[in-house]
Amino acid sequence: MNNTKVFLLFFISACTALFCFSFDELKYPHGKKADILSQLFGEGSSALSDMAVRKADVYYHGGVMNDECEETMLHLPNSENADEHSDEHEHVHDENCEHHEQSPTKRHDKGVCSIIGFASWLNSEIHPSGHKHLSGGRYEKEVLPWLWTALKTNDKNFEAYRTAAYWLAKRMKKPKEAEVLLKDAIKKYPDEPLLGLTLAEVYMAMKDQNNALKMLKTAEKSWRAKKNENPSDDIEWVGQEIYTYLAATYRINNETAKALTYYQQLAKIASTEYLRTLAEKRIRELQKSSKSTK
Amino acid sequence: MNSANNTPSLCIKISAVVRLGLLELIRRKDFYTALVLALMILIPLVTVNIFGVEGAVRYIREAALLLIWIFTIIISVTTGVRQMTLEVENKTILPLLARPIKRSEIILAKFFGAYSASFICLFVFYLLFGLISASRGGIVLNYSFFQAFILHAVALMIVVSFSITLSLLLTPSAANTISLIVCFGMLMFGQRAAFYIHSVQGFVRILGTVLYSLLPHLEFFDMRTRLTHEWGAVGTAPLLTAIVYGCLYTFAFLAVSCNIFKRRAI
Repeated sequence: MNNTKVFLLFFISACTALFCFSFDELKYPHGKKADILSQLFGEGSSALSDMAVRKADVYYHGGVMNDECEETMLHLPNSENADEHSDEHEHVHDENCEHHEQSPTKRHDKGVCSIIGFASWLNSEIHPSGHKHLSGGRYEKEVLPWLWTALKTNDKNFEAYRTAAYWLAKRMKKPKEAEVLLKDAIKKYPDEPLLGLTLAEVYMAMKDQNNALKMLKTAEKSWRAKKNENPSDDIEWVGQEIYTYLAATYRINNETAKALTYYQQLAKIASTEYLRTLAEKRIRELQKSSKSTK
Repeated sequence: MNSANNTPSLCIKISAVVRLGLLELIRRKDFYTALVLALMILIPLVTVNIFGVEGAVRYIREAALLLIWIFTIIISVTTGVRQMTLEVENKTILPLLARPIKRSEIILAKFFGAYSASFICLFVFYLLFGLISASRGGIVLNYSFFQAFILHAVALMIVVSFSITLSLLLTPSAANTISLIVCFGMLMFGQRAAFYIHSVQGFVRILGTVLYSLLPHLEFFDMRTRLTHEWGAVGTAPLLTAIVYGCLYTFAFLAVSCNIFKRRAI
């Protein structure tokens, strides 16, 4: 009797499992294309992925968490001060230091218990204080494992793709690896404009203007589709980046009409006063130069 | 021969119990399990291909040091708690007490037995860590590596003595649980706890300050970040302060243990 019950229970469990696994939605909650790690971690995978990116940033700061430091891991080719801060700099705490959390003994009232003062002193001596930035081929590769983990746990973390691609192409001087990474991602998610934009940036770093332009145009198409589908601040930012690159590329290639069109579109969608002013300034310059040419 | 000559010296008594502790380590499977588990985690990490770029080593160092801390604390706590509770439960403490050995000497010998077992585990783990790190072109035997090892060894002294004290006050499972919670809790939150205490007022602040002062600060001995990210060695003054702090806490816990064990009716 008991054996029959066990057999029945086993049979029902097997049937339920078979039934569940016949549906792709249940078998692959993150889609068939998702990595094994993201399948395993389920809903927690995006949180894990974000944590891995944060960890990469901590590694960039020499293992010390530093929310106040303005220099982040990501300095993309368009940022004006891209290479300005790439050298390693070390900052050692002093009493007047304002941008790090003060120790409890310095920060608070005079009635501070001496054991806390002692513990704070010993902790600040044993644990690294201040911060430094990774620089040089030997050290810069150290953030890559965490970016790799971020992408393995959630392959929809497009910001992580952008950071990893920048790190490979610009910091590690391995643009080919960045290209392979992004091409794989685009195969999986062809409608994601951020991937196209990032690949275009990689091509620009490789001085491959033709492919960069091609990629920017593809990214623009997917951006338009995505914007109509789901408008948001993030997607607006991607559009601004795409238009800035397209306009600048055409301006450099002396294709004034095309450059003018993209600057006008940029002026329409610019979210900051600075960008709008810049676009308008370029429009005036281009209009003036086209008139003088005529 | 007079009776004084027949009484074995303290060193001989302690070494006999230490030998038993080491034999127990070999007999038990905890250490091998921890070692195999550590290798099972670290070997895939070492061999993984990360964007075709080779030579990243800090993530392996961090993972290895984290595993070493976790496993050595678990081994130290379980070994420390088992020392007295097993003897009392199995009544094997009675023939031991019948011998010419004081109760305080038993506690001391049990401590050295458990600590030597933990120390051997720690040594093997650090050897493994050094080999893995060196194979990836990282830390070799530099000064900060030795400092990290010494501070870790001192931390285990506190862990073992603390777990022996708790094992005399509580049941084995409770002693294991509380020891592990306190050790990992202090390791994880010890550094930040001071900031929390200063952010609260009234009774919570008083309670926080008392607990903060009494509980052993294992974070003083944690050089993982410094070693992983190559921040260099710690100064001599903080190193010695941490060692003295560790020795004082160990002594205090052992003194409390001896006192409890002396008063206990068996």
